[in-house]
Amino acid sequence: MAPKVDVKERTKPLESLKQADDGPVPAVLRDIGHGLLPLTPEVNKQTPAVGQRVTRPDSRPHVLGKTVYIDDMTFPDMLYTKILRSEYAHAKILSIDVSEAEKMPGVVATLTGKEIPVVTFGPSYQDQPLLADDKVRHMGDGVVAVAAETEQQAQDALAKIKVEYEPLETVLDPLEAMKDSAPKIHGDSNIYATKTIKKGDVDQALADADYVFEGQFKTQMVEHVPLEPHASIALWEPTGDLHVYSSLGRITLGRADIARTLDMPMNRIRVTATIVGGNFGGKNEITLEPILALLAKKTGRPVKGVFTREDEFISSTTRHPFVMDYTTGVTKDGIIVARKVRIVCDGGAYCSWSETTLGKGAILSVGPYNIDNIKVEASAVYTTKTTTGAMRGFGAPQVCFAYESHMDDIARELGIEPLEIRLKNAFHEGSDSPTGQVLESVVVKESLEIAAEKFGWQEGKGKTNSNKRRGQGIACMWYPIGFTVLANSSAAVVKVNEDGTATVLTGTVETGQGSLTVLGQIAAEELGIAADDIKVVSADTDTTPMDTGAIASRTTYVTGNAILLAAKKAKMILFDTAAPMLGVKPEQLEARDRKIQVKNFPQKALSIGDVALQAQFVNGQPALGSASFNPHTVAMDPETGQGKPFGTYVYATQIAEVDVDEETGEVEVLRIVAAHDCGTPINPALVEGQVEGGISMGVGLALYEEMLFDDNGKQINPNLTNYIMPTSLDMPEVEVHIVDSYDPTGPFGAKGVGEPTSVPTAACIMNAIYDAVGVRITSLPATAEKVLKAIQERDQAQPKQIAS
Amino acid sequence: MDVTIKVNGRERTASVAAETTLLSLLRDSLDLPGAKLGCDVGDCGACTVLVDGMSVNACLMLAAQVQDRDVTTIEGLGDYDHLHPLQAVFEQESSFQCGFCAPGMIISAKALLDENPKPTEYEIREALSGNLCRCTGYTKIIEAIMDVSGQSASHADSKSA
Amino acid sequence: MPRFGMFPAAFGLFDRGSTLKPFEYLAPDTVDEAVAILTDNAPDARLLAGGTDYLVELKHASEVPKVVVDVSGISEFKGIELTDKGLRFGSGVTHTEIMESDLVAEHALAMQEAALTIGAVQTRNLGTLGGNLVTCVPSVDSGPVLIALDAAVTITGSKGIRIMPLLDFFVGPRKTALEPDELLVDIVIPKEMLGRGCSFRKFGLRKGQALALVNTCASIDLDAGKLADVRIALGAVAPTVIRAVKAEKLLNGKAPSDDLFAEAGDMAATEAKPINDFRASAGYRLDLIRTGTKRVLAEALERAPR
Ligand SMILES: Cc1cc2nc3c(=O)[nH]c(=O)nc-3n(C[C@H](O)[C@H](O)[C@H](O)COP(=O)(O)OP(=O)(O)OC[C@H]3O[C@@H](n4cnc5c(N)ncnc54)[C@H](O)[C@@H]3O)c2cc1C
Ligand code: FES
Ligand code: FES
Repeated sequence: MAPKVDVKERTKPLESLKQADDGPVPAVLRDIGHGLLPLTPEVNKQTPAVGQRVTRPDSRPHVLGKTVYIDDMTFPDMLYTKILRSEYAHAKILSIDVSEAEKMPGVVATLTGKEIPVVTFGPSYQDQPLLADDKVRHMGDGVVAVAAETEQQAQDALAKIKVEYEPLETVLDPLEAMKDSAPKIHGDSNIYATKTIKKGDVDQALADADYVFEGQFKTQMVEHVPLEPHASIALWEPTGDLHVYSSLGRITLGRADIARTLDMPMNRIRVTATIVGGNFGGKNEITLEPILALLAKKTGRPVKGVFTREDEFISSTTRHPFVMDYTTGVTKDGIIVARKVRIVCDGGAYCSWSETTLGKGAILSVGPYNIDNIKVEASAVYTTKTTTGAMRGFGAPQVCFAYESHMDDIARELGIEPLEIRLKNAFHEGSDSPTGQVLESVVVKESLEIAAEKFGWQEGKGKTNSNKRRGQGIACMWYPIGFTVLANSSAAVVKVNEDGTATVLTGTVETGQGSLTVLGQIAAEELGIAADDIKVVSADTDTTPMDTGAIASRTTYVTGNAILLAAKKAKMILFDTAAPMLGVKPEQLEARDRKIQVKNFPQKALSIGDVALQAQFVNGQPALGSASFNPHTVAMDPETGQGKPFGTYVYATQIAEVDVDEETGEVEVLRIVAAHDCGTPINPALVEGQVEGGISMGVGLALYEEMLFDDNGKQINPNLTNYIMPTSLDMPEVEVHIVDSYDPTGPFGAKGVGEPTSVPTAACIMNAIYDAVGVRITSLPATAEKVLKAIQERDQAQPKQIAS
Repeated sequence: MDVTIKVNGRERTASVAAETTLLSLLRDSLDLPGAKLGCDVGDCGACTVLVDGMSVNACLMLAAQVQDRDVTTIEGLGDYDHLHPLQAVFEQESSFQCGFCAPGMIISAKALLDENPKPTEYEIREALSGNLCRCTGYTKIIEAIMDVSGQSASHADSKSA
Repeated sequence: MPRFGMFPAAFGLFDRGSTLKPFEYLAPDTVDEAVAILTDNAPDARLLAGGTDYLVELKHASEVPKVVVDVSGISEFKGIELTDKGLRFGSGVTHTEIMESDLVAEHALAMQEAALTIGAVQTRNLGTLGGNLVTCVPSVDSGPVLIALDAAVTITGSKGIRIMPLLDFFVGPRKTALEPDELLVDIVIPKEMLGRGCSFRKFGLRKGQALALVNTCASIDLDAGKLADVRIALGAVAPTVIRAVKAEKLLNGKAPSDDLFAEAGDMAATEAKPINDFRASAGYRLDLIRTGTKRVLAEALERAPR
């Protein structure tokens, strides 16, 4: 199939760089093992792959219905597993009796926590049991696993398991859980993580400020709701090796967890991920994998486990609810001089990704604004509720809702227009972040201006019919790429094939975001071949190199950089091989149009395939490059939070237009205009897709979604009937604009875009509701009932003010 | 019991228990795993197939209820070399991300276009409201259906209908 | 394409097992056969029409009946037709058939409004009017319109045929007047109710696929410019669908006005006994009754023949 190479999609920064930069290949690239990228990206006249709306390599199987997800796989003689979950949100386990269950028809084996070599796991602390053995800490805790011939038989057997509990007091509210009197869920304090960020003298600055504003904001617990539930299959090869097929989004660390919990060496464990049917952070942790492995061992048969939708809600991780108190000092012209933030993060029953969430939440809580005096104190608290973990934005949607609602309140009180107050305070190139990091490629003002212009800011407001009022709201944000200081490395291998095509090996996982496409485009661009000439092989721990996973918007930036570096190394070998063949120095060569050619003398060229053959057959140096990349970070000071926690940041603005029915409180989001920075858009279609999808999650967070618990800690709505996520009828028209920016540390200037897309949505919708009907919703979601109540309170307070 | 259905143009028979759902018949007995199990109770639409041309949730029908009826699944729409126009446009416009909803979405879209070849944007939204998608926000799916029905995906008339 | 990881096509069909517990399946062709099966097996036999309620129930149930009787092939349960009694809906008529029926559009438009709010296309293609009414949840969306149009149901069983007003058919939440050996045959909107001004509104937690927090329907006649024989039905605000009789009384014989409708809405709210649940508070449901009643009255007035 002849690839269509079309340059018209190129975005500006890349285009201009291509003309400007035609220099030699930096020598430092010959020794890039340490993973640091030179600051001048070497982008020159190559076959353009970056910037194209390349068709996804996984599209054909998807549209044909032929993508194989875990639940689509079966193995001969396979068994099915179901998990018995806790009856209590907090209890001691006194005894477990599986004898009756084991006698049930079809049941082949059972497993309890005591049988697991190392029963606990977790990314920061290993506080979470695979199957609870001595204590349950929320209703989603698994207690016993049953493997049977059919799913129904496994399910039926659960009812025959006898577990004796000694119920303990539950605590569902994080503020309650912080009190000394609260029941302790692990150890002797429920506060298990804290983060502090300090800059300047916040108390003095607040005292000196012209005005001080306060506000409290709260967010709810929401679920990722990947359409494909968690699923895995474990089987033991005749070699004695364990093979796990899993819907995990992070196979390398998944394998590490499986190895730890099973007490096995990593080389004996193979984790293969399929294409994941949606992740959003929810599939970053192992769930059933070690359990299935042990059941497979016990029975000598392959064992499959697929979460029901209810399992998905009650036992997989969720988004952290935040309680956020803001105190902000401003001058009378609207310059923010001081900000104090207190965040209490409902950390659920186990730590999971709370450390990262708290870290990101704390840093970002200040907003994308230049504020000299800052104090943020954040803590994560155990409660006897569903585990909170990684979810698209790690705390950022929560704090953005708070700082942007607060910003509009300040603007209104000061009589300053919302866009103007943001432009006044927004970061600029070289701004000093709350942690003292000098920010680069800062385009928050540009995003504000583009969004406002495309939207038609401040036009067409007012009453739309007798009971509906229209309003518009703006919110901007900043968001980092990669983990907070944590090790964050990816490795990649690029192999040039003997016909000039290439294969990329990466340990990242395609979870729908299009990483296979984008990573292939990066490699293609570097090798001077077309995107179709690349095959990306991913997500198999036996063959693909280590990668910290499809998480934290890091794949394009971190894995992309690793692939870029690996491709550079492979290219270097091609240049070294071709140079004597063409009678020039390697520095004079370029890879372009599937050829290695002498710069400015395109007729002096060799096909990449021929060079690759020569490299391998004659020179004994195959055209194979491998590299890893770890973003350069500096640890944060534990007292002040000062440091360089992230490699880079992105910026965005969203503006929403809503109609609010004043008699029912119903909010209809009519449209959202989004202006997002992602560095160079490697594939604009996929960037748009991320923004559109992120906004739909944002709309859910803003208006509909909430996991509800009764007083005993039992979830009330663990199903898609009662957990309300947006359908096609609930989604507004979404318009996406990509803000030009170029990150010198990113692959071809790219940063990332996965998570930030759902960060400002709730905030802009809440500001639009305020604009429409003059009520401030301080806790999400803004259900129609909540909005109507606020409208009624408004009318009681100022009965005359709302004459139309 | 033996159930015989015409699926994707082929007559197939399987021996299943009475309580087997259509979805399980397709996925587990007829090797047609295109329709997905997302919720098992009719909320998500991942299991959407056509029965006598009408879109249904295969998780909410018994296999026995489709005896002698005509079933179309995503596998029956096109193959690698001959995509159905809806499959082609979904591919061109990257109208999916993780793809888990795609088989159901495409089938729902087909059911819509078979009845109404030039739907408005609102009609498309209405027709897809039983198919949840967590990844795409539906935008590119709606645009693809507008495009394939020969209408440019303008947002002008959106949602007001 | 192979569906497995490593073993080449070495095995045939694989039964993963159903997520339903075992039962026997029977599909009678006639009402008489169905009655006979029910009589023989009652109470251990249950009916299945579209299955959109019952299969969900079975999937969650700890006990299943011995026999599941599929009534979707019974021809007496099919069809929408105009008879000398009125507009007749076979109990097996689907919500999609209601939406597509010209007869319904002409004579009872609000039935289509209600049908359109039920689930999504897939649910409406399978789900039947009979199934909806027999499930008899308080939020049953076809209930209010049929009650505001004074519909009657025909029931058959081993002891013969009974006809009763739908209002009496609804006994309580998930409880109807049906005996274990009885079936619902049809639903008839009486002739004199056809074509009157009627409007339905449903309030849910979102627009697509939403269960009703409150649903409201009003049907009216105009007699020399005055409101006559007003019927207001409210769903999801009491154990079963109710009529707001005091509000109706308030309206009858008066000239319609926005203020009067608002007053009727307030009155209707006093007649309902909504519950607090996780979906909404009773107070919010009362607000919706006020607003909804007012709005359906205004729309019914617009549609009323003058
Ligand atoms: C995703 C989803 C969304 C839904 N949304 C809505 C909604 O918005 N509004 C709403 O009102 N409902 C909704 N429902 C519920 C359901 O779809 C409707 O109530 C539907 O009309 C039920 O009809 P059925 O034919 O599927 O009933 P079935 O499930 O087949 O039967 C329901 C009950 O009726 C009995 N029954 C059926 N036919 C007869 C008969 N002829 N005589 C005696 N008993 C009989 C059965 O035994 C069973 O108890 C929804 C369901 C789903 C799955
Ligand atoms: S699996 Fe059938 S609708 Fe979700
Ligand atoms: S593409 Fe993932 S659910 Fe739709």
